[in-house]
Formats: sequence, structure tokens, C-alpha cells
Amino acid sequence: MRVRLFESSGLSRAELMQYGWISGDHNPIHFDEKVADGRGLPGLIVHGMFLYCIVYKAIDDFLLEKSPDFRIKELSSKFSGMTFVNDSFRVEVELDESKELSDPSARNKVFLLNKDGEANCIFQAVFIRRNP
Amino acid sequence: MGYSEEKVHDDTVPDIFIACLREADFKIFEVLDIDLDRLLHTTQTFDFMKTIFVGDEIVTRPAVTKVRTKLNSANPFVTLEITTEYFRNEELIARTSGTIFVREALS
Repeated sequence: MRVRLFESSGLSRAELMQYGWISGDHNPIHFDEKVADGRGLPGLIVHGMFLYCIVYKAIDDFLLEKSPDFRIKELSSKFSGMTFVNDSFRVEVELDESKELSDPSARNKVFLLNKDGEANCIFQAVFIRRNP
Repeated sequence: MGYSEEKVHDDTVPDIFIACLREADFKIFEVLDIDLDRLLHTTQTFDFMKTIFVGDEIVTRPAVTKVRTKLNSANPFVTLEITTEYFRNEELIARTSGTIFVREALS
């Protein structure tokens, strides 16, 4: 069963620039339309790591509410599509219900879906009990 | 990041904050003379091993751990795997590994 964790109406260019300053990623394809166009991109793309951080927090909030004894141990992502500035997206989780939450072999999947409902990124999450 | 005060207990730091300690990673591209606008981020994995606390001094050590090339093609490219280890007092507290696709590798 999939559960929707988070929904965004889109990230602005200003937010991308703020993330760039915080993270040190000043790749101009994230904030300079001319450069993005010159690279054949249809628009400014959101940093992969910015989206990763947003997804991490969505999962963390979900765990704090559902299973506060657990935290994220490992989070793997594979980006298959680009998320563009101001485009809406949502995050959904599909827990592996055949296994315990802390089982490292559990295939817990998290999906970053674009405005068309297609997966721009699929994550695999491994959870672990928090230290007491 | 939107972490409200009540969700940050004591002096722990949300693990994901280390994802912003990437200045050293970008030095790699500078050293290799790779234009940032040719880069596409394709995969990333974080292994959060230990809790981080306010006041911790974190040292990051990035390294290029894998290189793949396809240069004899109409669209030559290179992919780099960059692995960064995060240390606190020489204790390994997290590791991340990601692949970066470098487009137009020969121009």
C-alpha cells in the first residue's frame, strides 16, 4: 500500500538559489535560464540533492509519527527524470509489509513523482532502531 | 529544511544536515577542470551510522572511487562515482556515494 507523505506545488528559483548557497552547489543549470537553455534543458532543474533532502525529511516525519523508535539508516536514490523549477511533485512510500521495519533486507520504496505522476526518482530506505 | 524546534530533541542534529557539507566534493570538479553545467546527478546513497550533535566538528573526505568512460561515440561521456566519508574525532559517522554523469566529455 502506498502512502502519500508530502506534496509540493513546486520549488521556486529563489529556493534553488538558497539551497545552492547552503550546499555549495552552484551549478548554473539550477538558477541560470540561459545556461540551462544552452545545455538543452527545457528549464531550470532542481538539485538532485535538494530533492533527496526533501524526501529524507518526508520519511523522517512519517517515522516520527508512525514508529518514533526508528530512524533512517540508509537511503539510496536513482534519479530517472528531472524535476523542474515551479513544477509540482509528491512523495509516496510503499513499506515492505512482509518484513519487520528494521529488517535490512526489507524493500521499502519511496517514490518522487512528477506532476504527471511519473517517478522522477525511486528511493530504497533501510530503517534502524534509534539509540535509547 | 522545516525542522521545527519540538522535533529536534536535546542537541541532536537531523542526520540529513550532513548532506550540506559538500564543499570538498565540489573541489573535485574544480581540480579535474570539469564545468559544473555538464554534470547530471544520477544516483546517491547515504549511510547514516551515528547521531550528530550540536557542536560536533565534522571532517569530510571525498574521493573518486570509480570512473567509467564512453569516449568513442557521438555523445561521449564520463561517469564518476564519488564517495565521501564523514568523520568526528576520526570516528566514521556517515558515508555517502553518488554517481555523476559528465556530458560532452571531450569538448
